[in-house]
Amino acid sequence: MSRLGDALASRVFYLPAAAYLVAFALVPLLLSVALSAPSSDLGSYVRLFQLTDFPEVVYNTLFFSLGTAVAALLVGTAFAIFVDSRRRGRRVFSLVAYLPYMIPFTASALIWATLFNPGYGPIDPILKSVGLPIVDWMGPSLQLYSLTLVSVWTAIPLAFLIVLAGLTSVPKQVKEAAGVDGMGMWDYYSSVALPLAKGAVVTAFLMTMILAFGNFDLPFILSGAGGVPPATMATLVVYAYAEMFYVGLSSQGLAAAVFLALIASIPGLLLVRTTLGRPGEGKARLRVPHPRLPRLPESPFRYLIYAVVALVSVFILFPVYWMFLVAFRPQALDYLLPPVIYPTKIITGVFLSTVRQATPEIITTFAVACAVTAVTVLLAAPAAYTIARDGRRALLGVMIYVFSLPSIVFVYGAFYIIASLKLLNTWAALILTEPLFTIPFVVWTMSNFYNSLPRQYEEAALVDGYSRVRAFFSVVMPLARPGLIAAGMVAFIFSWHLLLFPLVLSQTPWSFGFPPVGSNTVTTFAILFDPDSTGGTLSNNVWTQLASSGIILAIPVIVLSLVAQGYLLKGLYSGGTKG
Amino acid sequence: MPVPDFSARPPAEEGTGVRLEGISKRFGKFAVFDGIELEVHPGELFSLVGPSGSGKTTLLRIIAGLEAQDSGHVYIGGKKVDSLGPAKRNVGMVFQDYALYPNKTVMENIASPLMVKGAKRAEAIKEAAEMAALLDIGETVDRRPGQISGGQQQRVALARALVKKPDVFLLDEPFSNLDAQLRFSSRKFLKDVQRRFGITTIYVTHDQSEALSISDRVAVVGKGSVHQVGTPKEIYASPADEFTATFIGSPPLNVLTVTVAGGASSPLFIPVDGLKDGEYRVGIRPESIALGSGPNGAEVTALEFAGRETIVYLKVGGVELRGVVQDAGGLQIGGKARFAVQPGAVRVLAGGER
Ligand SMILES: Nc1ncnc2c1ncn2[C@@H]1O[C@H](COP(=O)(O)OP(=O)(O)O)[C@@H](O)[C@H]1O
Ligand SMILES: [Mg+2]
Repeated sequence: MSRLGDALASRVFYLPAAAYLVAFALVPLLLSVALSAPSSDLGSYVRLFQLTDFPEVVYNTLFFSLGTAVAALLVGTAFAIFVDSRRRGRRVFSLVAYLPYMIPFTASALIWATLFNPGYGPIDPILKSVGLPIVDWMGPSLQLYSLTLVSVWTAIPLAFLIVLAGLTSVPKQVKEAAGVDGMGMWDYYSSVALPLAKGAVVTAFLMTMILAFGNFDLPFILSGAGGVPPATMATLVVYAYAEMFYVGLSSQGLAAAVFLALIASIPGLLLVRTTLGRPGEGKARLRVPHPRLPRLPESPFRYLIYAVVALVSVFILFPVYWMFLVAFRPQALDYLLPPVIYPTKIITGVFLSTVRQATPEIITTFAVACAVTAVTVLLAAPAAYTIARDGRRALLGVMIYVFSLPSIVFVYGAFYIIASLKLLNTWAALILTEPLFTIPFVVWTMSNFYNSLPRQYEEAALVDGYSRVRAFFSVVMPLARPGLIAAGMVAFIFSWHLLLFPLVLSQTPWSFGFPPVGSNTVTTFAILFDPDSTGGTLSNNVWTQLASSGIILAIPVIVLSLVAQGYLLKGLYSGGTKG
Repeated sequence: MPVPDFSARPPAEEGTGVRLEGISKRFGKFAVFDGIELEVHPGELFSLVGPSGSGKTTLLRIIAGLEAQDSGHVYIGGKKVDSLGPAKRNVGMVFQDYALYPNKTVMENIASPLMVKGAKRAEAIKEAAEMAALLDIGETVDRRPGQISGGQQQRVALARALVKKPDVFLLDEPFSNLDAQLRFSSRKFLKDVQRRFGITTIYVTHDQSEALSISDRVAVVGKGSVHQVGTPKEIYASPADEFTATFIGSPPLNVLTVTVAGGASSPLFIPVDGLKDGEYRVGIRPESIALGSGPNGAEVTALEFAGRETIVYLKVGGVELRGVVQDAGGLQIGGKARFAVQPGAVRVLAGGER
């Protein structure tokens, strides 16, 4: 192939992904912005800012996101220090810290909803039995804190994984030198490892904050999965959703979504800057001054870490245990005082009948996730390669920025496009729109993966007379297979647990017809069991069914996450302390 | 690089010795070594030399306490230290990649072991500055490791290891990342520093000429065991076995099997005084092969110019030999040469009985 042809080819590599993102990210985004100001005036924004509840909603959003980021970072770092400093038990504690990552947001929210339920949940009786006062977790005064607590629970794994990757990338000899010098845990982590892992710590903070800004699932489900959420816990996301799809004030809802996107752009752009600044030395990068920390006495620091890890382990494990407990126990054990928190009798009937009931949804979600995975890998892998090899850093910046935008800002535009294509409530609707979330993330992680592949193989191929395109397909792709497989799993997991888009684009379960019509997913199925969303009329076995649908949601993700764990670690934060 | 003059002093007598007693270590199924015994005298510069993969690094890490032995004991200054962590053994260590803290300045790096021990900041800085001046890196103290040369990083690593006045100084191939010139001057520098401090030093290298040139004593390590311990002279002149014989010296010793019968030998004529009839495994130093005249006729298969001398590759009766000459004027590849093996140059490594 000629030089020109080759140069064109490497450009073509990222064109499919770019074209997709223009159609399904940029166009919906612009639609959202345009429709938020219908007659080219800013009236909807003015009305939004004048709402009496607006300051509270903004406060809730900021509290929820910053609170999540700060708490998850502190806890995740404590956990990461613990794991990094130990020789034994690393795997077990890594798995504990990683566990919430394996539970989709929807399932997490449902479990916590049962835990918080004043009549049903075991927390209050446990508090009472140790002499503490009972609190109304979901009452107006506490619900924002409860919501943030759940969000912290879901965000710990990400913070933990990223910080741990930073800590373990400190060269082994440096760690040993610190040991020979007589540095204790505090000395080492405060003066060597954490300063070196600064980039990872900043990344972890920004990532958790960004995900909380855009998080729809948790506030939506915990505030009752429908209707207008109470102002005491509404975040901008659920406020915007309610305005768009319940109240019908779409321009005002869109204004809220655009406003949220602007706020979320701050951590988003900072994330772009830290990530792009990392490998090249001397480039513009986020400068975080490292304060000279006072020397702490050694053993109190060690015990503080141990205490945090012990407490947080219980905090992480109990809800998951609870989900399995409730799904497989007879209804007779509900509402007992004191609550039964041990497995006494195991029944599987309700779980199996829930699986039967959810069969159309399970098939739909599985098929959609497979298709989304294929589309994602096909489009993202070549784009990631261009970024890694041709140094198209700007493209990477765009990907990270798109990743950091809240999904609520795309959803109305996507709905509009899908509706005008007459594809609402079909599998195609989901398969077309969901890669919007998976492509940017997979491009990001895959480009890290390609960066870690030695260039010599392709150079040898080029010297042997291969064209760039052939070298990519016959040399790079086979080498990158482990990365591609893992990236595919990540895309599958993303797609599997999406809630907002199926909620908006789907209406009914699959009718078993072809072409597939009816595209409710497992997530939308699961929230139908939320006792609050059914208006308080609890059907028989509702708790067991609720937990069962949580498990149905979680199982594939648990299996895949266990397999993809190593890749996630490498992909999210590679490069470590160099530079 | 200017080398400070420590006016070469004799090795100090006082200091702390190191003793290894029956050290065994395995990684999974792979036994690195089995029952190592070693004694390092107080104040000496002791080298562990051997091919790469022979377990030198592992042994050094066991002494430092970075790796636990499976059995056996480590004594430092007569005290059993098996249960002590690296920080408690009061050793200074220089790592192959130096392992400087990249986020700290040179000054902070050097002062760090003192601060960790609880020294006041001002005091630690003062001592670190003295050490830096002593090692001639005084002007780099405000920079970070990434901003100084490899040779300077090397000295910072030495300074950081020495500043806490360790009982034992451990170095793992400290010069292997330096270029040849710098490696040469660094050797002398290290030797001077070691004498000046009189500190017991264990030095790991795969480079036998480096080990011979700087050490008071050398241990030759090969595939899981110590083959010989002795002064560089002893090791060079009387290798205890074939492994040592072929590992030490450049070019390496010629090792071959000769048969002695009735006062003559084949395939090579060697001085056979004192050898009974029989088959012997013998070593002959290349420099003991006197080219020019003699009882052996050989073909010259290759010539290798090595500066001061030329290495001559010879083939005689199916045996390959290496010799060295100052002046290869009369020799050419494919030509014939005659040579004699100098009297007293043959070292019997094994054999004697038929
Ligand atoms: N952590 C380890 N796990 C498994 N094998 C190891 C480990 N460290 C060293 N080895 C093996 O032990 C042998 C000795 O290694 P090392 O002490 O580094 O040798 P040297 O420093 O002499 O080159 C090598 O074969 C090496 O592969
Ligand atoms: Mg080594």
